[in-house]
Amino acid sequence: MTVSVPRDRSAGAAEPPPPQGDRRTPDHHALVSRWAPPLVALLVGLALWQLVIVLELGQLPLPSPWDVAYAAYDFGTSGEFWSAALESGRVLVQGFVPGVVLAVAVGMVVGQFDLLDRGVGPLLFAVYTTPFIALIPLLLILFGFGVTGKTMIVFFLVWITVVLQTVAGVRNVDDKHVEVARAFRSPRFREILEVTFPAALPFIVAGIRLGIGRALVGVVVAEFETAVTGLGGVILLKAQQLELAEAFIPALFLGGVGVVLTSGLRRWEGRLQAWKQ
Amino acid sequence: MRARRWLPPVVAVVVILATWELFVRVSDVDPTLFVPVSRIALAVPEVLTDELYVESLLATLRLLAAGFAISALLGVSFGLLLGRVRILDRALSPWANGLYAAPLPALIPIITAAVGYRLTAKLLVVVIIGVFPILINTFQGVVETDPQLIEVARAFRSRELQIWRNVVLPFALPYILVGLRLGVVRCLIGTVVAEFYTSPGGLGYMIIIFSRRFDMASMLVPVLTLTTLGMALVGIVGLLERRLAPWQQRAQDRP
Repeated sequence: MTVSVPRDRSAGAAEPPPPQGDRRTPDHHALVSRWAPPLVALLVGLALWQLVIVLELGQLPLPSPWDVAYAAYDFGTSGEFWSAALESGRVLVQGFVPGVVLAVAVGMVVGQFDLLDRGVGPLLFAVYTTPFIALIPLLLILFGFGVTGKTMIVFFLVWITVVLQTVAGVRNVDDKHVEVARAFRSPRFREILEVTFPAALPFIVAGIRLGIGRALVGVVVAEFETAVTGLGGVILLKAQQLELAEAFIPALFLGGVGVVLTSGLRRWEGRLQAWKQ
Repeated sequence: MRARRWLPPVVAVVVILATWELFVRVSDVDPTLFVPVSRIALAVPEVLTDELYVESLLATLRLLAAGFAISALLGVSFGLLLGRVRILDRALSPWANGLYAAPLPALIPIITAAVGYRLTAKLLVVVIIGVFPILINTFQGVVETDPQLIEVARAFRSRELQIWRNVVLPFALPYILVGLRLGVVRCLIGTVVAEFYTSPGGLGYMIIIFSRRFDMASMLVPVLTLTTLGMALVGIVGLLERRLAPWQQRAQDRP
């Protein structure tokens, strides 16, 4: 829910009308009319950018789209790039999995007990509201400037986001469902497993989505700080050598990863919400 | 009633701080890294009275205010535009959503290399990070405006601009405020990253200085200042939400 964003009531309203007659042509049309405008906008933007560079209108030492495309082909296929991507990816996975597991476990417990929630909840919220970038130097000093430090950053960013959402999800469980479970004398663990957890799941997934966005930023910034490793390190190094076309490649790659993960999780959230109604 | 609300978090803080102090004293972790609470308490007045602190706080607030103002202006304008002009929506909304999901601080080294370390670079960093939640939430509010209201306005021969001002903007207001609340947090994050990696100055720079000296206790002061600042800003926008759009029910005060 990103709790605070008003619920999207128009979902489905913008869907194209159901295809009639020959199934293939309308589907094909829908696809074209959906993707053509953004692609045209992209091409226009790139053409303008190329023009500015070619005509030397700006004073900025930016690479042209053509340079970036060439760098994508040349540098994007190099071992240097992929070993950096592998390093960043490893850090992300290593921190992400325990972060989610521990956050769900803690969140389920905190959410069950009102007093605990009222005591710890505001603290968790305060930590969450801290601009998380400010905590990165602190975590790096505590846990080292290597893989461990970066993993801890991912772990921490994912954990704090998911734990808050899990607590919100548990508190959001329909009391009637809990009452029914209790009326049928269902044991506590079954109640948690079969009533509380499914009800909290959409919140948890939203937390994972938000957490992963923050974790990506966290890894990149941590790698600026440690300077020599991972995709963030590559961006910094290439930018300092003024090889900006090549510096764009890891940035674009990270953007793609962010978009794919976020939209995938959003879709999952949508499916979880669908049966709720 | 008040005590019931404030007591649990206060007790929780005391318990956590006491446990931390005890843990650091009993176990053999390095006390220069895992600083005991008592040391932090000593560092707080020292840093707070430092001239650099006040200067940095003001610099951060200035950058934040300027960046947020620009983000709000751009975000609301483009949100309105994309929400009302269909072809712009179709062409640009996917990119706006994509940029919202992308880790934009990855661009910072490129920005500093291209724009330099001037104020422009700092503002650019804050705005690209802060503008998208405002834009997207404004857009959402505009798109969801009750079409019947717009029809009535049309029937009374309102011009498009009048519809924007008198129908769409008021309808989208709660959404815009949510966008501003999310946006101000992102602007604060942008401000800190900008201060880390562009020209020196501000609380972010202070954090970097202390971290290079491994001075954990002093470092916590700007960090906690930023926490306070973040909570205060979220609180202020939340207050505005209840004031300006009380009809919008807020599900929870959680993120």
